[in-house]
Amino acid sequence: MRTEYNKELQMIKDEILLMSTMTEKMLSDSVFALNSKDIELAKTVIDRDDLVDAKEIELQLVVSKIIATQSPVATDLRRLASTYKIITNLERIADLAVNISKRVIELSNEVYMKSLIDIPLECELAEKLLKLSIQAFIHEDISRLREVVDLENEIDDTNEAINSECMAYMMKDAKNIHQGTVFCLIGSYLERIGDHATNIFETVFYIVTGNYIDFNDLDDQTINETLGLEQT
Amino acid sequence: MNKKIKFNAKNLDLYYGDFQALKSINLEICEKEVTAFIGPSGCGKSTFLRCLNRMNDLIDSVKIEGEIIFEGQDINGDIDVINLRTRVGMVFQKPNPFPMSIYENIAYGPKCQGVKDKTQLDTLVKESLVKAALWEEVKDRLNKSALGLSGGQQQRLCIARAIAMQPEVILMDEPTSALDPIATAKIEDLMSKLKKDYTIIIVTHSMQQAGRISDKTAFFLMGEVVEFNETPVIFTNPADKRTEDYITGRFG
Repeated sequence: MRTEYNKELQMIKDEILLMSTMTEKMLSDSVFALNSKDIELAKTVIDRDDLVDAKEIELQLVVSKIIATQSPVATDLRRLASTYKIITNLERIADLAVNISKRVIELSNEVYMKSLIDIPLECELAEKLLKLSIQAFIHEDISRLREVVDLENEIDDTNEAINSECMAYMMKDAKNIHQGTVFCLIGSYLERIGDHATNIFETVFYIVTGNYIDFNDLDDQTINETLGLEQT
Repeated sequence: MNKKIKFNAKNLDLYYGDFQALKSINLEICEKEVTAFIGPSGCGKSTFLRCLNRMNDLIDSVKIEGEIIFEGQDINGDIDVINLRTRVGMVFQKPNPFPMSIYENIAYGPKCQGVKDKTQLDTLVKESLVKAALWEEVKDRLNKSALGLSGGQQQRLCIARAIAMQPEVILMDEPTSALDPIATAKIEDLMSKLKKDYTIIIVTHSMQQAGRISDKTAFFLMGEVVEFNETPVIFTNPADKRTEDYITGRFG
């Protein structure tokens, strides 16, 4: 039944997966470029943003067309309405990867005040969270809710650690102020990437359950209850 | 806000001979709301609609068990059926104006009820046509044949004719399936206005129509009510997989 319609819905999932892969690569490349001071790589990240923007517009048009012609309801409607949110979040993540890359170029002639440990760690956590959210979307499975909450908290903690460490370096020597500020900014970009990835998981939660849940107020009991509810 | 229950069906079974067309229907229909019945052909939605003003009495082989409480009284009991059908009017799939003038179509019912006063009839005709959003289009040709009206106008005339009997409930069995989108939109607008004064129950094959106009939706399948809930819930987050499959067009 509705073979063409089902194909269109599957195509949207595939395209979101593609857009997500493009975004993830931009994110990892931007932090790799920061670590290795690879200006050329940072520049390609900036260039690739146009592709992600184009993909967002393309998907918006496809989803609008399906809504107009197929009158989706129930889970289909939740899935399609959520697509708008997911692609907006992916596009914002790509923008933040561009911001990181611009900072890499800004610092290109400077010797780093310290070796980078927490920024690559925060990036790794953000990437993991993004992958988890996209996997949840593809399989429409929210069973890894606890991992998402834990990862987001870990990202926040790492960002705090970066801020404190940079603050200490800046207080020690005023020459570190510029770099310290830039590293703090990069930490906050990564923290926002984590937020966008969490937004995607929240959207998947809506697709699967029909309800929104505030991830900021999630305690252990609520998570258990939520997952218990989902299993029944 | 708790709305008053207009109809309360309790364990309603209906048989056409040996065939059970309705199976233990339990449904509460609220006053001054639009309730939509959806479901595939032959699921029992029109049969149930016709139970609400005892239209199934006209079929010999029908046997009904269970109750439909309307204003505290079981309508399957010993009641005045003519009075019930006055209080519970009906509009059908195909517009069916009488082969009379527009005026007479509306005045016919009240005249049968004994209203003879010309001024009173004039007022009733005008009020009914105004309520059915048809007055402006026909006020200069009230004495012309109703059969000269367009399909959409004829259907609104049928609604006006039902309104003229001052019913409490209007049953509509696919009232727009024979109409173009503009006439459909006018009837749908009309339903939204009429629900301030009347309880409206509509059978429709159009999911979009049920979504647009109704407050509550009941999904019928093989003689049973699978799901009954607020319309936005049915169309965004139905509880039963069969409802989801049907409304998303993956049924069968």
